[in-house]
Amino acid sequence: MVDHALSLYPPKVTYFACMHSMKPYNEIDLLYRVRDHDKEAFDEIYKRYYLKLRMYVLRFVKVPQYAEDIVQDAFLKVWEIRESIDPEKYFSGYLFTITRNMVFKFLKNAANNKDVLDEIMISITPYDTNEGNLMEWKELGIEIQKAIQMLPPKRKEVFLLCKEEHFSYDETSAKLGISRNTIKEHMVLAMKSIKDHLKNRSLYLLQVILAIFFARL
Amino acid sequence: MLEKSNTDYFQKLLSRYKDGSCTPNEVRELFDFFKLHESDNAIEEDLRKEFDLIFNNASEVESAPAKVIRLHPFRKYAIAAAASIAIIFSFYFLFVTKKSDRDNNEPLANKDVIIPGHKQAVLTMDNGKTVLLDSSSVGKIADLSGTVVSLDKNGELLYDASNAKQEERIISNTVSTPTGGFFKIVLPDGSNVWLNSESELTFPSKFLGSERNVMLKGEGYFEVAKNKENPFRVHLAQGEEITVLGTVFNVMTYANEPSQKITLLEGSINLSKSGISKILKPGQQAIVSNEQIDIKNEAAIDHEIAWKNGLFDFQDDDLPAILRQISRWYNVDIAYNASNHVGHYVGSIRKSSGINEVLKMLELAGDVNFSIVGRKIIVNEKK
Repeated sequence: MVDHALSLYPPKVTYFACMHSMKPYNEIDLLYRVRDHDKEAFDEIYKRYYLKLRMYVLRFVKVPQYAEDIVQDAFLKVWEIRESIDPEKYFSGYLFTITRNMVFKFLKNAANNKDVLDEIMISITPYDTNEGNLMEWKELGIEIQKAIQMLPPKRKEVFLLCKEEHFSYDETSAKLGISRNTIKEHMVLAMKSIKDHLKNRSLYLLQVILAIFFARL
Repeated sequence: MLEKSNTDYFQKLLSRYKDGSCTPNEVRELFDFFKLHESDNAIEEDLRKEFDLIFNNASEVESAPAKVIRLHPFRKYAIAAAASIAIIFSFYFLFVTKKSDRDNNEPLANKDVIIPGHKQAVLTMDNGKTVLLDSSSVGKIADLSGTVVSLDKNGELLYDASNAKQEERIISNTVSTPTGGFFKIVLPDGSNVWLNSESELTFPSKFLGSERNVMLKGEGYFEVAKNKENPFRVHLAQGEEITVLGTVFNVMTYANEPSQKITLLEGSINLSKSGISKILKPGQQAIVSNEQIDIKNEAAIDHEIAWKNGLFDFQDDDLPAILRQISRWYNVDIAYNASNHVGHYVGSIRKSSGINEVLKMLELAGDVNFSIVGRKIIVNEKK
């Protein structure tokens, strides 16, 4: 393949107009309707953005229940500011500004809040620590697995779907046929049981890991 | 601001954290960074970058959608003028493209700096795992029931299904490129696919059954591994299906282009859409618009696959068509402040060139000027 093909020939002076709108037209319509307090249109917007937004938030937040909260709060905020939305502008821009601030606050808070940081640790500990290069997680993983095994069956199922399969609350709710609120409750309680289990162990693993880290410095 | 060396390390940690490949100690280190006020900028920057990747770079609230304008009825534009446009344009390419693109190497001062596209994509698996595919994620990415997914040093995503377990769950994978991204994927059957910007390919972690089915949005160049028993089928967003046994072809199906084009380089393909079905021979191109399939006999192959070879190649293209390509590659919006852009352009230039260089060339050759405001290119009438 030559780098710079040159071709010289008189171009035909045919002419066609092919302007386009940069985004799906009906989204603009939807946003006009949202601005006029149309809940149905808002639901449609929610459906379109929910999974992607959750995926985005989860990449930073890691703990499913906090990620769900942030996504819900972000959409709530969108509903609150609906009258000031300009439907001709990219909706994702609004979503970004709102969500970024929430995730940023969450990370800053987690850095200074041991409880939240522990929950993040629990959420990112691989469930199956036998897989390959997960040696560093092994100790914590084994304890967390024990704690998960001790959960009531339904709670365990909910927790694993959200944590391991990365199901959203809506998906888990649809799959198990239980309400979104019940799922949230299961997740909060499951997290609490696991944290308690780790705390009750004579060696508090999260602290041990921290100690090892500082010893290395 | 963090110091330079710290910033690099911080970004590495953050990227590993997002992909779930941090060790516990690294998580602690990362959150110790978060405590520092100095890390705020880096966090915010990453929050934007990640958002742009997941939402295909449409996060600019400021950017207005492209204006739809009525064009003047065709004016008697001198053919001579058009021809000279082509000539000037071509010569200009000859001289200028030798220069290295200076504006590439300047540091990223802010988000408004416009840079050419580069190798980047996001991999989403239906088990919920999402991986940002860039230089920081080189190595093994996932093990999907025996199909090993890895990103090699050249930035190609490989699916090795040679050790895949028979009965295991099949996981659906989607690789999507943002505006200004492109990517190469080696599928579990050994087929090669190049994805252009703003494109998406969905495929299983292992092909099961008698057919190899994939789904494409945007533009892709396929080199399909030969396998007579298991036809390879590309499903397009408008319901078209391309069935092949083993061939090389390009599919351009951007929603904002006036027609979709399927160009065959080798082998043969069967294209079907709502009951109509056409067979293409090498060198032919199918142009699909609305419910119609037109076959063009001598397709300009080099022109159609120039993107895959790192080139913009314009052959008698009009300005809107060219600017759509530019918008997909440099992640910019286009606004028209001029309506007399009737020229057609001929020439080619490396896609790694800075945007100023490309626009300057179009200005010299054509009948419009450009101005850049933030991430928007405004087309102005030439005074």
